[in-house]
Amino acid sequence: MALLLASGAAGAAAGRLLRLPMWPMTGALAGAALMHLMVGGHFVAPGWWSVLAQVLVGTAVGATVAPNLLREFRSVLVPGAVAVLAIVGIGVGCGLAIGALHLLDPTVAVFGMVPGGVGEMVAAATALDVDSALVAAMHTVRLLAVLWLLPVLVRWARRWPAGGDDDV
Amino acid sequence: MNRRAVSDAALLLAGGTVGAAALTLAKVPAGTLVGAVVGSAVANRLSARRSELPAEVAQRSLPTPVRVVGMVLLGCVAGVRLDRGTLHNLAEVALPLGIGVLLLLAVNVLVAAVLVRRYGIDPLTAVLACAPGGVSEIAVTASQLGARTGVVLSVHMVRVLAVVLVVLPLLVAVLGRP
Repeated sequence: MALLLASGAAGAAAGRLLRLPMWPMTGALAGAALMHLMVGGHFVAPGWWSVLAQVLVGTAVGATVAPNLLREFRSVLVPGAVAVLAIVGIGVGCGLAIGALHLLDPTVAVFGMVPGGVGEMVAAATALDVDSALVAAMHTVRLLAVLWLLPVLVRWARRWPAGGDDDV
Repeated sequence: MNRRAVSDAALLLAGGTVGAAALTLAKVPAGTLVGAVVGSAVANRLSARRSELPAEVAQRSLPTPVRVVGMVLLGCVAGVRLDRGTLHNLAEVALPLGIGVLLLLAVNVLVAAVLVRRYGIDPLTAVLACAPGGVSEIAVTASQLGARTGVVLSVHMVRVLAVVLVVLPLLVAVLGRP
């Protein structure tokens, strides 16, 4: 248990230095996996780690629900809701499609594709005892792709003419 | 950590733990995670209401290390599960995963264009608000590039909350897992 925690912590520290996206989790995952592959044998993280991790991550999400957050969202309620529904809907749709094609277990596929926060989706996958490593890997690929392509999108978007109600 | 940070963390974690225990015992799908979200939000709200300070000041925040510890534990739990089978599955799903990510980015552009044209939101804020990326990375980018960070962050946080509180329990129920 101590070895697993130490390798995870070392991986997280390395992830921070390497500026990995979501370094606490992706780094710890890499560190724990590396130790597992090097040492071999059958390692299992204690069940209470998963419960504690869900409580910590969930508490962190709940703590962000501030009045100013809801006020800001209310100021862009309709467009904000459109954005949330479209992105989450596409994620669920892609996951269901991958599951329907029998490429992956449907639960893993959906949890790996829904952009609902990496920590939150991995925590949920852990709670359901499905392949949380694969879910984390899928989200890491998404994050890296988005971070890589976002500057291109931003440069392109800056050339768009500003719009408004009159343009419709 | 100063005394205020410790008391903030203690109150929020107490709320999160009570919420997690309550929903887990009630057998709500993904009850531990969902319960912790609801519990800490409720504890924060109740504490702010009892305070004589303005809501924004009375609002408690969780010290970053708490979330970092949770993420490291999740990484460890996931890391020991990673084996050849996981890598094989990832390789098999690489093409549909890539298509899915490109589709998400295409929707990002489409919805951002709608926000710009129909709702008059500036293009930079619109693109970042719709980007299917990590909240912290997008927030830093928004702040650096001068987008409306409050709007960007609020849309992303509502996305995460919508998934955790609504979509996740529905998926668990539909996909038939405990």
